[in-house]
Amino acid sequence: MSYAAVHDDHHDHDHKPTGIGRWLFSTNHKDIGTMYLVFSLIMFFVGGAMAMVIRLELFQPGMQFVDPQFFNSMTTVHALVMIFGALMPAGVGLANWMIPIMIGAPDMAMPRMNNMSFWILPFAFTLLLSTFFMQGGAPAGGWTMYPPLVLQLGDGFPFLIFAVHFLGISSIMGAINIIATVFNMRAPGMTFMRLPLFVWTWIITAFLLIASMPVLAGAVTMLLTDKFFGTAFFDAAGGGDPVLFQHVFWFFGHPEVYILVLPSFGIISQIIPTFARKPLFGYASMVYATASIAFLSFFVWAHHMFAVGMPLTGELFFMYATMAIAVPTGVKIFNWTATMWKGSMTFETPMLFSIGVLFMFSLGGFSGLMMGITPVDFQYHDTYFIVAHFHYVIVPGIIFGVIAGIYYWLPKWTGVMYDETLGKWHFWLSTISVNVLFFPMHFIGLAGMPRRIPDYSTQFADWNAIISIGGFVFGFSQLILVWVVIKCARGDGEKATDQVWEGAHGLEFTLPSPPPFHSFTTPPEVTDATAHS
Amino acid sequence: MSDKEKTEAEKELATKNVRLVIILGLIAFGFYVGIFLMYS
Repeated sequence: MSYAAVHDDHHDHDHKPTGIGRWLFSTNHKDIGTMYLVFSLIMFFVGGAMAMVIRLELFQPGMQFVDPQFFNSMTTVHALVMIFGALMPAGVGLANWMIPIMIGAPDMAMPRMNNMSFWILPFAFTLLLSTFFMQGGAPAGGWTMYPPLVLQLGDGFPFLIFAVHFLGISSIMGAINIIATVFNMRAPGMTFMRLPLFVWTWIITAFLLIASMPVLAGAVTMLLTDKFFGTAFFDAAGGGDPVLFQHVFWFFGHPEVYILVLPSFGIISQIIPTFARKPLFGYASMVYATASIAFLSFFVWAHHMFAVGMPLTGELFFMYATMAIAVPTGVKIFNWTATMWKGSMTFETPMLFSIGVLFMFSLGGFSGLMMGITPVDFQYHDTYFIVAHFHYVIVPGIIFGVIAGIYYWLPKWTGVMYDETLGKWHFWLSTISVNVLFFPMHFIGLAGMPRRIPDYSTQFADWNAIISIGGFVFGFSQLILVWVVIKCARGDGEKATDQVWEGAHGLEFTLPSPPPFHSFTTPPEVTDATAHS
Repeated sequence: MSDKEKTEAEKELATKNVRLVIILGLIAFGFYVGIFLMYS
């Protein structure tokens, strides 16, 4: 059946539910994807507001605005909200929206489970954020929840643990759904090696989630039983070991970094070929590099805890394993660069953000290599150098990737082209401010400023003021994105074509913009011409 | 869509999906219980 015929068929059956029930009981992958993305955007601003409080307090040395306990709650909950509330739901939201229409499936494999995966999230974050109003306050011992410190939390402790459990359940259900969708519901001719890179990165991410989230759930369950049921997993007095928690936590925590970053890699692997007007360089090597990164991510966890002390053999193993991850990551960076090489490039907003990912994620990667060297890590440990490193990975590495994806697919979702001028303002303001925000953290970190403190020596005052200004500008710049999205959602702009971008390929661009509520009810035949690869 | 309206192919696909979801769910639950039992 031709695509045109498929489209006619869609329009005939494009019945949308109406009212609040459309969203509460939705089993439609596009609606659920939209809900994930809106939730993620709200959490991005909630977590961002906490970052603003942190930067406001650190604008000058001395205590100005908040007490130290509340400051610690801000750093802890900022991380939890950003990681579990903003970044992960953004990735799942994009997966929900795009994977079925990229592989020619009518919907996700388990639509009702999809609905449940989403609606667990607001419930879990209500549990987490309600701790601010409890005896003992919100979690303040760091997002890593290390015992024995986390066990000193007041009434909020079980709420934190249950929130993490629910977030884990939601992520695992989402991951299982994605695997079942891609494995069982691909259109005829959509072989694995014809899958768009974004789909590949999500399959691998989903397996990482299934292997690592239960480990986090197990670790926090042990915390719960230590606190309330008399066990001593992490209590030295009872024969346990608090360092064990760090090992178990980081066995989850390091793959989690790749759970967050791989979908971003997938997004820019879609965007760069479109705007370079060339096929992706080294498709197969990109797939194998992604799988290698995921595999190796399970063997590097202790590089987060060199400072606790471990045998020399252990230090060497984790140092070399960490270095090894740079190889497949380097393959990806090389392939993106080679895709652009001699391409007929244009620099629309999605491409600008993708190039931003390429440059600034590499910066974060390089500082990661530096701290992967065990003896040097003792110098960097618990300083602002670490904060600079992981924020370079997360903000311009992951958030810029998600933003690139939003600009790239927004015309497809809404049927309206976004305002390119506003997009470019958003990119340049974000790029300049994010570097003002995070680059000087390398300097103050190397000079010895410790992380997670509300006050600091006057020698760090100038850079901290500059960092805070960068933070405020970055935070307010993101309102441009909200305005761009609202304008498109209201239909304010030029009508988008089905292909949207001149160099775009793939099944999603054979659908109308916006796609019908039910798409690919009759599976398309995929050929080399219609596949991304 | 009720079960009666589903074609054989759709029923087969639904069975395959449910089977895979159960297998992956059991693997995830196995990791959860496994980590707990390993340190008990």
